[in-house]
Amino acid sequence: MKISTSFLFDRATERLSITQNKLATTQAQMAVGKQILSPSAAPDQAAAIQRLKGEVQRQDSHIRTLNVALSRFAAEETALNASNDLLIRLKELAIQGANETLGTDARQAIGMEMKSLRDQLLSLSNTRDDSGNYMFSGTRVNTPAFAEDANGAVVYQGDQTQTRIPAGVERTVQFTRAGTDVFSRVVRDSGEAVGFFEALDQMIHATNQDETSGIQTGIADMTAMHNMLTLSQAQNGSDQQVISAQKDVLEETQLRLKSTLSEIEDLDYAEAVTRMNKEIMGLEAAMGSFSKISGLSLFDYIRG
Amino acid sequence: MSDLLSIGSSGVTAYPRALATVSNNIANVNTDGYSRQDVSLTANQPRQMGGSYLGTGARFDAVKRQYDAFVESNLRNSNSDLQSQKPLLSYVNRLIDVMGDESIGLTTAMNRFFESARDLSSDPASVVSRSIFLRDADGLAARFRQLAGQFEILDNETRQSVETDVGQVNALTQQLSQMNKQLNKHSNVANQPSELLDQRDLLLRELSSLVAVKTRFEPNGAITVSVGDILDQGILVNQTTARAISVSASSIEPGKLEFIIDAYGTPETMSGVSSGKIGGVMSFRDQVLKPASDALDGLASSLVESVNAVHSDGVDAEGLLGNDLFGFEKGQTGKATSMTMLIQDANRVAAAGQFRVIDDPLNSGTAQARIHYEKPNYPGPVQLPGDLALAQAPQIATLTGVRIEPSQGFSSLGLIPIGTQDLSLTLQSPGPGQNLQVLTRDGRHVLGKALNATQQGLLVKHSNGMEAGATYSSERLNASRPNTYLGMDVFMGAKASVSLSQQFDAVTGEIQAPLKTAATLTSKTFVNSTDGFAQGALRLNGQDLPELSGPITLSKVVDWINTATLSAPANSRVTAIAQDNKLVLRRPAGNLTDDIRLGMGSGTPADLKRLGFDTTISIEGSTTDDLLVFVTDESLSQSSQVGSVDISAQFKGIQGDMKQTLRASALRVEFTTDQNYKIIDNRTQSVLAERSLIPDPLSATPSLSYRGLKLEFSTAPKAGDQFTIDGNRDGIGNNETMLRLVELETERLMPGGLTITEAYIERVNQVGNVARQAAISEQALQVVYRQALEARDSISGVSLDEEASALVRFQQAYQANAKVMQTAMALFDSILQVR
Repeated sequence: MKISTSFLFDRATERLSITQNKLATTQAQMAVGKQILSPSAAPDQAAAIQRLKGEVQRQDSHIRTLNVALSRFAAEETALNASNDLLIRLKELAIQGANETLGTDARQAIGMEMKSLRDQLLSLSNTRDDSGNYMFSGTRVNTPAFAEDANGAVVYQGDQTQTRIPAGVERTVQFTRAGTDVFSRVVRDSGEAVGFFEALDQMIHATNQDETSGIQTGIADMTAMHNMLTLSQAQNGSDQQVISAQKDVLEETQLRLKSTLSEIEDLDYAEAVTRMNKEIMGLEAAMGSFSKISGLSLFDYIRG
Repeated sequence: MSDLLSIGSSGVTAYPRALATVSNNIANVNTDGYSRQDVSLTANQPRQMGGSYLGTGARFDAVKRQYDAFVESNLRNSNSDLQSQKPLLSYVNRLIDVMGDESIGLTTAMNRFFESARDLSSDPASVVSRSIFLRDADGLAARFRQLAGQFEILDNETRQSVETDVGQVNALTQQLSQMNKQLNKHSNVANQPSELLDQRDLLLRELSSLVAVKTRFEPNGAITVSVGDILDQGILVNQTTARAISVSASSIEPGKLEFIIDAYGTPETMSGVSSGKIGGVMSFRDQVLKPASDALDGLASSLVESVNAVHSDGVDAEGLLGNDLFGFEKGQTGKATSMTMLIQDANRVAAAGQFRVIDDPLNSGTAQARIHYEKPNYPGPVQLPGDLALAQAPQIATLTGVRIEPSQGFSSLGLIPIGTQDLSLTLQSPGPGQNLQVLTRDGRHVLGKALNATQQGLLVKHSNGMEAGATYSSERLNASRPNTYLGMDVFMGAKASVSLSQQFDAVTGEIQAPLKTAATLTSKTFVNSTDGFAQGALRLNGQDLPELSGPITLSKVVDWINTATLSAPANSRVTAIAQDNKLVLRRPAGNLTDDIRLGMGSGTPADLKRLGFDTTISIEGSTTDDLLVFVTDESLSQSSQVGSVDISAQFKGIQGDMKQTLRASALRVEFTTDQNYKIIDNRTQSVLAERSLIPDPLSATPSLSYRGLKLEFSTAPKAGDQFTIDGNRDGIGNNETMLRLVELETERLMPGGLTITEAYIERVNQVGNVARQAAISEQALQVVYRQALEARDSISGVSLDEEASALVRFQQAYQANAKVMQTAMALFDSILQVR
């Protein structure tokens, strides 16, 4: 078949430009380290990449939420531990004060210490978290959980709404603990329910007034309070466990997603370098052969 | 003898022409559309010499154009196909680069929006988190707009490209018609100059790269061109006339382009362009861009709708009900183009839930309660029956012949929905034993006659629209204010209010304060009856009327009432008179505040009827709970005929809903035993419900629900425990609404069970598939085109080597012929030298 001159030249330039294009793409891929330079380079993968990236981002966000929760729970744990210590000390004092041999002065001294411990407890109950929110106020986070009214009686100002925060797909974890669950009311044998601080105040009053029966009631109350506080501590601990475990799961998932993403998106350098060498070789061969072939002309060989 | 000289001379004459043709070929080696020309030489007519013929040399016959019509048309068609894929591929690639790009694509913005919602849910009180949420919401709206903007750019660009290309087509067809004119000078294509034919074919090739055409060649090489399915449709060039194509936007389908041939002559709509560059651009517009842009609009409206539904259901940092977060700007056609964020103030972000539950600090049980609201779905009626539901003032509707089955003894008259204003519902001319009954969804009997155990069993049923586990109570039955159920102004009997009539100033025509007239209650025409009334059968303004012995006449009744009200203070005393054989009760003319209420004590609507009055349920103001209305008939027994009643009704309007009413009023759940509880309205202390916990087989922990409020306990409550439920106003640490917003991310809101993000990615995927297919087709068509080009070039192309050899060949032939002439000369000389 006849090869026309223009066809010969056109085809050769076309092929050269294709090879050069390929080489430029390979070079760009190596420069950014990505297999896929733009979505149009791999339209069939574009959707998969978007989906994976979104998923990685989502896991990130979940992990962030869990970190917030963890730091909050750590702060809560501190407050709970401190409260527990104070309560134990209070109980010791009460047992001491219940001793019938003690005189009024000694009891009043004990009462004084009790009062200061009770004030410390009140201040612990109004602990704030990292964001400055009152930790035990339920959702009234800008209001101190417990405050003294005009008569010195402590009232709970928060609410009981429990918030939960998302911690992964279809999963939420508890986030807040109402103050009344931690500094919880006590139900006495009589069936009468008394608030946490009210019970303390009654005991301090009894101590100051030398009423040992009141102190005895206080000791019983404090046992109940202590139980509730310990329960909160236990819940706090198990919540932290749940969150840590959930975090591990998320991190694992994220790693898997990232490696899948990398397989699709990232450049295999060894392959790319090999490919580039091959392409350079091809280009050189095409150029060399073209210059030779195009130099061939029958006119050169005809001596006129 | 043959003429040696003339033979040589014929060759010498012919070969320079051949050489000229070859040099012409060499000169045109780079000319576009040039077809190689070939010389044909023919032997001259031989001369007869005796019995044989002697040749007389050669002559130049013709210059032949190296041309194959089939190969040429093949090239045109493959060119059309290839050119259609090229713009499709390049535009689709641009589209997918836009949609799939991290900075312009939707997924990142969408992810970021839900991410900041999630962050906000872990610290709803934080103004910083709220601001970030707003920023990202704004970013999402902006991303929709940007993306829509990019689509619009592509739309404009492709439209302009089509317009330009159509202009090009028109120019080419114009040239072709001119070409036909020139070709008409000869009747046979063989006589046409090959350059003219080359130019014709080049024009056709250019035309075919823009749009696929059908062609027919006349014997003289003139051409007919059409773009229709067959050659007779959509003719663009016929002889010397060219018909122009014009492009215009479709008036039916916005954004669609229409092609019309010869719009100003004999217009013909083009069926569609499928091939060529225009076809490629058009298929991108119609098959890729339009669906993508429609899908984006669909996404925008679904997202806005569902986010707004959640957000406006929440409570913001100031305790106010949330508004719409997103909206659409007016005056824009597309949803995505016009999407905006409406909230500017971070405190207006509604992160909190609407309801809150507070367990009493002194509860002896350890149960903690959680609350959420879910629109309840009750069986039974949702409104008043038939036309009564439409009886908004000034309309009055009447429903006749409402049947009461004897086996049942009652019939439902539907539901008075919460928020119904100024309702009056009348039982017309009641028969003996017929009565209206109004109950709440929790069996609180508000108006009517106390039900016996059988009736309770029939009426207080879930299937009639009652709450599950509802019990009957007549505690507030027919009570007067303020002891009525929820303090509503409800009354059943005959009632007349102070009447108001509009007044206008006689001179200026301005509206004046309405003129009040004292309440007057007028009966229908009085009919005497035999039986009297027992003590307390009827009540006037809350007071029992004394006994009246039968038979009764109008004058007896007038005296009876006037005696009964004698002790009342003169300024509010109700007096009775007989007027036109009717009973008229009225307040003193100066009393412009009190109404008249003639109700039933132990009596029945039939008793009221004997005084000439129908029995009406009157509710002044708005209802604050759903009320179920029944009509009962105690006179029916199993054997009797079906009872029938006529009911008429009118109301002013329906405003407000259950949820907002619940939010406005605090209520408490009191456990009377470990199992039984009461729900009590805190303001009026009305008992709203008395029920027992119903074990839920699906849940280990107990729960209860009231009008859609669902209260879930962490463990079983104890007797004496109290839980207060109210609308959340200051619980800004509450994140319930944000949690619901976050859930939208995984909710399957789009058709095909896809989430919003998935739907977008699916769209990217679809565009990706088109791109991939276009790329594959382009490669395939490139090969086809190249082959067609190769085929054409092998016939019509100029090869310099070939020409070089031809040059040498013809040169040598010329020289040889010259030599022949020389030989002839020599021969002639030889003859001359013979002496």
